[in-house]
Amino acid sequence: MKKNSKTNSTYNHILDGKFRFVLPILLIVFAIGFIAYGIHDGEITAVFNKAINLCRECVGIG
Amino acid sequence: METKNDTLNSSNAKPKRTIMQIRKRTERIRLAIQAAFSILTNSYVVGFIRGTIYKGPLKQICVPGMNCYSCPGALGACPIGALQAVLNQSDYTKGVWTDQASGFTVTKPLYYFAFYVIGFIMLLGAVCGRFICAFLCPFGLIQDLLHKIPLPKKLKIKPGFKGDKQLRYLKYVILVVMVIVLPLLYAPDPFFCKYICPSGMLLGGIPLMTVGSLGGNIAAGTGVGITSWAEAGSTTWLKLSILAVTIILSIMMYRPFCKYICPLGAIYSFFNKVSLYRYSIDESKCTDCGACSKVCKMGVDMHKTPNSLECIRCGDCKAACPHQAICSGFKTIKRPAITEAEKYGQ
Ligand code: SF4
Ligand code: SF4
Ligand code: SF4
Repeated sequence: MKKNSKTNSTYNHILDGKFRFVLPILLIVFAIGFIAYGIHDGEITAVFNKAINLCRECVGIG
Repeated sequence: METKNDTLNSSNAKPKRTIMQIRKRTERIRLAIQAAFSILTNSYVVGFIRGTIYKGPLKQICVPGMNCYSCPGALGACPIGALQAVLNQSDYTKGVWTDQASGFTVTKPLYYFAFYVIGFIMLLGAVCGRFICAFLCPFGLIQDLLHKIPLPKKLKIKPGFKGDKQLRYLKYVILVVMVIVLPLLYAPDPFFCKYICPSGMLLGGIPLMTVGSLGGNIAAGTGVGITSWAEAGSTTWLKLSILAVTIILSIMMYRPFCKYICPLGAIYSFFNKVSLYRYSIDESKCTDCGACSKVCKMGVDMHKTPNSLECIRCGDCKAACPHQAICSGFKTIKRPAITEAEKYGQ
């Protein structure tokens, strides 16, 4: 959102105007859908298993 | 340009706060929020005492910032570590194999798309963008504190030096190569964690290995610690060196890891332009004086690019603007009055 050299404005008619709330809300809806699908698919178990066992790579011994 | 005697409202007869005081106050509030959040999400004290990590159900949930899940105090999972852990499950050599337990032939996707972790990062990004970097990330806080260490002026590096702009792209390369492509192709290595992440070394490796060495560890059959310095190898020294460079650079310049390396900051940066929480310029007030750009330690020209990918939403520019032209929040951004040039399509 650089200043438009013609109008010297940072206002973006699409991102700040019409779609100011549409885009983030769409993203939030998608994000919630992704999280729900990830939990349903058992992905959360992979995260949990990794997080509760010492990650040897993280601590530099892996 | 601001001076110590600049006031917020010169026509107001009440005692006025100088811009410097407002900036100090903003910084103190931010520091308090950062500290409180970091302590809250790393409050498993037993881990620090026994040299072990938390294994409870909260570890299923990601934390918003760069917070190693191998930190003895960590209550949640690091999103970048979790993302690699899920991608590491991919098996590009086969899409079909026999399930050991059931004996049936099962088909699994060749590549995993990390729905849960990406959804989580997307949710936070869509709500507040890089606000997380300034307020909710422990590694951001550590770099902020390191940068407070006094140093002769000639040793301090200000943003905008030669190569600064180009180096900022490095974090996107690291995100694609070390966090996504390599863990997807060469399972089961979390490449970013293994070869780069200084946060894992500082928050996880050093405390765990030190407590394990001092108080005894399972490997040596002498205590409860889960590792010790006896296990240190070549990757330990590689990661320790990266950590040392990060610490030295953080004293010399503001948040080098966030500017050039962090893949999580790179992801959040894409949301700055579209997140619900955003910055904007009230163009009826802005005089283009440039005071905001001057104070920004991330090198952002706030009055020209209020939603720059590099802006961490620390609020320093907002506090420094002598005309209160910088707005932040969830509200609708005010459309500037149509200029004559716009009206007649010039
Ligand atoms: S860029 Fe990364 S390390 Fe820096 S504050 Fe943001 S998430 Fe934390
Ligand atoms: S927003 Fe405009 S008025 Fe405020 S400090 Fe920046 S340039 Fe100056
Ligand atoms: S532009 Fe303002 S809010 Fe953004 S990083 Fe710079 S000082 Fe902080």
